Amino acid sequence: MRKKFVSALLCTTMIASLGTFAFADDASAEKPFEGQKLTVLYMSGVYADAANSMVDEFEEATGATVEVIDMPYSELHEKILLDLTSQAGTYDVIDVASQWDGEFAPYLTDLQENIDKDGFDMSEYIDNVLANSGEWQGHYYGIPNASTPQLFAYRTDLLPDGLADTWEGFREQLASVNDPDNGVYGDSISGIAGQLGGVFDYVLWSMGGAWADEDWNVTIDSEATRNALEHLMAVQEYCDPNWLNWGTDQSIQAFLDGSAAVCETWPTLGLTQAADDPEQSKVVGKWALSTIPYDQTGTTLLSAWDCSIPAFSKNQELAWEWIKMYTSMDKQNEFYENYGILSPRKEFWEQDGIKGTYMDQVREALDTANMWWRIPASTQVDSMLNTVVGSYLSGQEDLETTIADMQAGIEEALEAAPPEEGVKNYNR
Amino acid sequence: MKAQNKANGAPKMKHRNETVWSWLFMLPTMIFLGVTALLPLLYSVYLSFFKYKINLPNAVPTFNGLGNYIKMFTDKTLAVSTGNTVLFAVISVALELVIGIIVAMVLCSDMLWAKICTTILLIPMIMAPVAIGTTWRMMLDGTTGIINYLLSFLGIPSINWLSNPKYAMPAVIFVNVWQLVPWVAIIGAAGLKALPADCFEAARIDGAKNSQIFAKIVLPMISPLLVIITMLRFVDAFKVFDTVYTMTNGGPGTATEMLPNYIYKQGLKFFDAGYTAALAVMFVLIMTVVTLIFLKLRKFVEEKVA
Repeated sequence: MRKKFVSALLCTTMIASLGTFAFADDASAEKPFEGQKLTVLYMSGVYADAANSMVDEFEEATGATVEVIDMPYSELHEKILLDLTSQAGTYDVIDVASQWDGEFAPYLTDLQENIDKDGFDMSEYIDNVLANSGEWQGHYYGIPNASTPQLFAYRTDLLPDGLADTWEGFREQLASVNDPDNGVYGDSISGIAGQLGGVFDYVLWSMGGAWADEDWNVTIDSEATRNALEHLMAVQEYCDPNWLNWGTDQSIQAFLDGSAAVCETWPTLGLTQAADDPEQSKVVGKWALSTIPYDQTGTTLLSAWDCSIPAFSKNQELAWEWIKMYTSMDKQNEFYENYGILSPRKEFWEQDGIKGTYMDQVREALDTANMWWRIPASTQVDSMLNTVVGSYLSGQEDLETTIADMQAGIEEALEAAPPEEGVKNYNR
Repeated sequence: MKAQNKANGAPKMKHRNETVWSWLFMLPTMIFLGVTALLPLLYSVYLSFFKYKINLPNAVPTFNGLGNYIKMFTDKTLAVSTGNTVLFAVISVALELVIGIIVAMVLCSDMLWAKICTTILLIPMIMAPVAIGTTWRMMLDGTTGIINYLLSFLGIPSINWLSNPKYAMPAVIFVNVWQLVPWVAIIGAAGLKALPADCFEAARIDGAKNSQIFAKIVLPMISPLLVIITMLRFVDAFKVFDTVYTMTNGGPGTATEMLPNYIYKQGLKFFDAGYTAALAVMFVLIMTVVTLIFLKLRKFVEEKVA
């Protein structure tokens, strides 16, 4: 009896153990990353908010734990670069602004193997966005996750025929609606250092100008540059006198308050979300989006972000799983609904509620929008342009001195950080 | 003889022991300072003779001789930012000193109201510089800021404080003065309270007026303290960063570009390690000279007072 009892007990224990092991095997098969920790870095604001909203679902699916770190844009470049160059591997996923792609590429994982392994279809992305974000010299170092062109929002009641095709015509329109005595300026622009350079860029590009030619010969000393600077000087007359200290939020707020007829902005950074909300806006039903005046090329500025994996990350596979989920169509739709993030996927723009609305203007601009240089010298050039354009517009420097400073600044940046051999300039 | 030698040797031995012990006690601090301050400084000096862009792949330092130092003489933005920083430091410190001492004289009373005022005055000092910059940036906005709104009651038209180069520098100086007058006042009040009361009583008995007491007694007696306050504030004003960065980011143009912001850009925006090291070395040298001048001045003033 005792023997039978002991045998039965042993059998039960063995079966139970086998069951437990089997269950454990199933669980580890379902959650292959159990116990791993993923650290992801995003710019503070909507991109980090979107990442945080995905954490629970990702942890549930993978068994890993996730830490989302966010940094303001002004600090993001240095944090990432210091981590990459020191090979610390602090972050497993980083959200890279496309102007840093070429600078960071030597320290990032080439994603081609992952793309092939999972049959990730890169043709689902808008060609121009992909060429400017994630792809560098024929390699994929990031998967695009957000793309916004610089556009103009305008008051349909004040400018019922839309915006002009040329900058000259645009200035005439601004003059016709500029009425500061009654609290309405013609234009609202973010002109603080850090934003002003971008404003100058899209005016310059649309007028046919460029920083340099394809072979990096500096071409900033041009008629287009003079015209662009003179245009900005003239437009100041139709702006709030404080515009040179305005950030994006203030320029958008002025438009929402009905204090400006036009707002030159990143529309999804608060404008499109609030403009039709009576509690936040005085222009409900009286606004629309437009591409910038076409003038010579119609090229506007592109803000694009792509998720990348640092080469020194110890969690390469897990990082790729995160990127797949973060950039999936479902998540892109969710992020648009909740945070106004615009997807670089073609399919996103074909959906009901998107196609046939003002969003068609945004989509159209994404086909031609341009990012400035994506090589290591770009940050220095952009910073210099912000300073010298600000000096010119605030009357500290004359036109010719400004252009001479631009020429010298670009040449100095290229000399200090020359592009790698074989890299051509296709970003103006 | 032996006994005498022994008697002479004992204090020498004691002195030697004390020296050994004092060096032993200082050793951890010296090691800490050596590792955290001296070694980085020496490495910066070494690096300042090299070209080294750390954001370039496979970058290695290449010897550049005095190239980085020579570059400083042709760097237009460096000249502007140095001028701005000197202007900012001189005007800020002068205003802080004058206003701070006036406030200190009001505060050096032992009455309850003086204690309450001192506590309130601490608020700007304990606020984070970034919060101060952001708050003042909103308050100084030409269109929506409360400062222009208040000035409008005095019939003063709207001023574009931060977007006009003429007003941007006065605006950042004003904010710095607002932030640091309390510091000068509190230190000054402590110094004033420590002055011997019998000097004032004797002066009063001799029929001295308040202004005479201040000019002939108070000011000379607190002058060593004033030199120290000026030195600390001057060195600190030269390092101004956060408040200006959040208020104007150096703009408009280069109107408020300061030396620390410029060095920060070279180092952490453009990653030019060689040039940044040269700038930092020059900055440390200049600040060392300024500090030495102030220390000499302090010694001179102390001797004069004594």
